[in-house]
Amino acid sequence: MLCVNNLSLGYSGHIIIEELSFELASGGLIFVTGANGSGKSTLLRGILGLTKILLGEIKINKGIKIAYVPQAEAERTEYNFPASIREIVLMGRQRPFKLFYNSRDVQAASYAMTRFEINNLDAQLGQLSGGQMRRVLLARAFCAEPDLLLLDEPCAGLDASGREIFYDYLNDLRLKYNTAVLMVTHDDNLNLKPDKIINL
Amino acid sequence: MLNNFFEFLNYDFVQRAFIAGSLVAVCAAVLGVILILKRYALIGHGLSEIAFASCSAANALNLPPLIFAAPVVIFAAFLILFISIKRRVGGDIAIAAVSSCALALGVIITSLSSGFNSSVYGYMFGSILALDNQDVILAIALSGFIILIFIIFYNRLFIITYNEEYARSLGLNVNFYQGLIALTTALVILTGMRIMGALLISSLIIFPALTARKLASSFRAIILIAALVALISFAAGIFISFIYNLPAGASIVIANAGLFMIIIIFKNLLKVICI
Repeated sequence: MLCVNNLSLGYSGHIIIEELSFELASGGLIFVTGANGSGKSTLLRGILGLTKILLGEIKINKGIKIAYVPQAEAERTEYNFPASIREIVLMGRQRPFKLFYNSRDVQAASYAMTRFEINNLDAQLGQLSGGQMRRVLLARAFCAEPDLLLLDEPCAGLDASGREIFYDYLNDLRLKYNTAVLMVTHDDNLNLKPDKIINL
Repeated sequence: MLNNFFEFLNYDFVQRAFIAGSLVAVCAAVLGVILILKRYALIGHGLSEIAFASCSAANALNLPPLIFAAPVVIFAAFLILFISIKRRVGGDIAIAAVSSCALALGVIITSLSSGFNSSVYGYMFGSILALDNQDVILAIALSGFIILIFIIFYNRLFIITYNEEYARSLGLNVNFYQGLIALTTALVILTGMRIMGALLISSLIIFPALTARKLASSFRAIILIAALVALISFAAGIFISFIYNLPAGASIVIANAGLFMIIIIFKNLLKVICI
C-alpha cells in the first residue's frame, strides 16, 4: 500500500527527516512519535506530495483512496470561510475524477457526522469549539472510507467521549475497508495496538 | 414614470442591454465570490486596466479591439496569478504595478493617436445602450461557457477556494483550476468592458459577492445570492439611469453599492433591536 525508501525531507536545505524507510500494508497501523519539530507532520505532508522530497522515494499503490486529517492549525485561516459544516464534511468524498456527489456520498457524510455527534450542520467552522472542529475534520476524512488514512494528532482537543467515538469508528473502518493507518500521536494511552512505532 | 419605463423596455437596444448585461453581471458575481474569498479581488481591477490599454492600442492601430485585447488580457491574468502564487512579490503589489503601467501606457497611446474619442471613452465607461446583435451573441456565448465551467467544476472550485493544500491532498490538480479561474476572470473582464467600461467592471465582481457574504453562511447560498443581487442591482441601475438620465454603467455600480449599504444598515439595526 505505502512504501517509503531512504526518504529525506526538509525545507530550504535544512534536512528534518533523514533516510527513513518503512512499509505499511493494507489494514496495518503505524504510529509516528517524536519531539516537537522532529518532522512528524512533514512526513505526512511528504507522503501527500505537499512537501518536496530531498532524497529517496515514496511508493503508493495507484488508484487508492487517501484521506488526511491535518492539525487544527492547518485550517485556521478557514475558520471564517463561509462554508457550512455539511459542505466541509462532504469535501471528504471528493476524488480526482469525480465531478458531482451522489446520494451515496451524501449518506456517507451524514453517517460520519452522526457518528461524531456533530449536530449544528449549518454552522461555520469558526463558530465551533476546538474539540468540535476536530470532530468535523475527522468526519471529513472518515466519510471517505479510505484505503490509506493519514492522521496528524487526531485526538488533540477531543474530550473523553470524542476519543471513544474516534477509536470505535477507526476500528470499524479498519475492519470494514481494511484501511491502513499512519498516525502521528503524542498520546501514550491509546486503545490501539500498532504494528510498528516510528520514533523520529 | 413606470409606464414610460416599460415602454422603454420595448426598444430593441434596451432588450439587448438587458440580455447581455444581466448575463455578464451574473458571471461576474459568481466569479467574484471565489476571487474575494481567495483574496484575489484586485485581479479584476488590474485586468480591466490592462484591457483598457489593449483596446487603446488596438484603436490606435486600427485593429478590432476585442480580438486584440483578448490574448493580452488572458496572458496578463495568468501572469498575475503566477506571480501571486509564487509569492516572489505580494499579489496586490504585482497587480498594482502591472495594471498602473498598463493604464499609463493606454493613456499615452491614446494621446499620441486619435485622442480621447467616443470609442476610447466607450472602453473606459462602457456603452451598454449601444450594443449590437454581435455583442449580445458574444455575451451569451462567453457567459454560457463560464456558467457551464462553474456548474461542472463547482465542487472542485469550492474545495480549492476553501484550502488549496487540502485540495492537493485529495489529488486535485490545483494549478489547473487556478488557471481556469484566471481564464474566466479574463473572459468576464473582456465581455463586461464593452458593457460597463474598464473603470467600472470590477465593481460587478466585488459588490454582489460582498453583499451576499453579509446575508448567507454557506458557500452555495452565497453563490446563489450573489447572482440574485447582481441581477437586482443591474435592473435597478438601468431603471435609475432611465429615470434620472444618468450613465447606465455608473448607475449600475451605484445600485450595487446602495444595496450593499442597505444590507449593512439593516443588519446593524436588526442587531440593535435584538439586543
